[in-house]
Amino acid sequence: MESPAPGVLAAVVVRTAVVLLVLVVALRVSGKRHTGEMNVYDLLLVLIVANAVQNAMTRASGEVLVALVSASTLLALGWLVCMVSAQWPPLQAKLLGAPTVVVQDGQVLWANLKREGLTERELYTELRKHGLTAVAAVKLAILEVDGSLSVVPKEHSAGGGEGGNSRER
Amino acid sequence: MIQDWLGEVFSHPDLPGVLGIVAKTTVIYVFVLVGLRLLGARELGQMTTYDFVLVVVLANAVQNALVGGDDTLVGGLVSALTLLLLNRLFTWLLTRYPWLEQQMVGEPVVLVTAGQPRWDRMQREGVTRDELLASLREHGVADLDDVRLAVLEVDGTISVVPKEATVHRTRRRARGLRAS
Repeated sequence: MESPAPGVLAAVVVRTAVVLLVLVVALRVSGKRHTGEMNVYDLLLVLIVANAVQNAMTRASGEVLVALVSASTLLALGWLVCMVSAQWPPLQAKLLGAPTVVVQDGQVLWANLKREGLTERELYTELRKHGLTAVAAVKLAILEVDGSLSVVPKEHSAGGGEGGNSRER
Repeated sequence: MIQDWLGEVFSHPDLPGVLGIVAKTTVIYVFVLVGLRLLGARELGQMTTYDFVLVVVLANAVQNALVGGDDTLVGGLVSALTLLLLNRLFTWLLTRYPWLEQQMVGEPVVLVTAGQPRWDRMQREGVTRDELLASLREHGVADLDDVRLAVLEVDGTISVVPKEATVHRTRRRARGLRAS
């Protein structure tokens, strides 16, 4: 079995890089729910997208060298992005996005919540994890770039009512 | 020669046929999504290792059909973008229709309210007394009387809101995977 021509390997590098770029941009635009707590459908999506692009990167080649070149491209790009964004913070901001305010002074900012693809139920779950039961008790809630929610409660709050939208049956 | 090479990498022999990829990907994704739900996936919020393996293998099983044997760059990207758009639509529907979220993802269940435990609900959800008390301890709460609210969340963790307004942060489980 002769090894693949340099042209083929160069093509693998380019294809892999393009796939990575497209997916990074697409996920970045999709909002932060993908970096926060995952439900089974989020997990399914990540896995199925990875499978969808496999052959686009390697042209369905079964060659070990092709696989290594593709993997190396991904690792090298990852490292490169890491290095560059450490030196140049604006890049990191562009890649990771900015934190999003979802609750301000007891009011939910619905447009922001929707844009990040979070449901009301998910918001209440996060509030409960912070020991709060109502939005009214929240001074500020920010969805961080890693998908976690930072919550600043109001002073002297009693925490609120009966648990948002949980089932009472 | 460079032009030929670039053409080979970025072009597609049958551009209208790419719509076929969109269709195939959509059918497969919807099928798997509904299938996961019908076979009790709502409870997969408390994913075991086996459930995790199931999802991984599912994604692999449909892999080649997503693009229908197309191995071009364009074909793969079209499939991936179709999936991401479909998922965006799905999550939008979840935010728009709470009943759908209830159906697909489940809903939180109140286990303790104002110091009163609801053993019937715990039994129904398969939460033992020990698990409940362990959660209380995790949240720095001494006993049931100090609990304002304890809720079994859809991801299988139990949130505990104590009666005083101190703020505790739940220790995050490893992405919802349990050992059982």
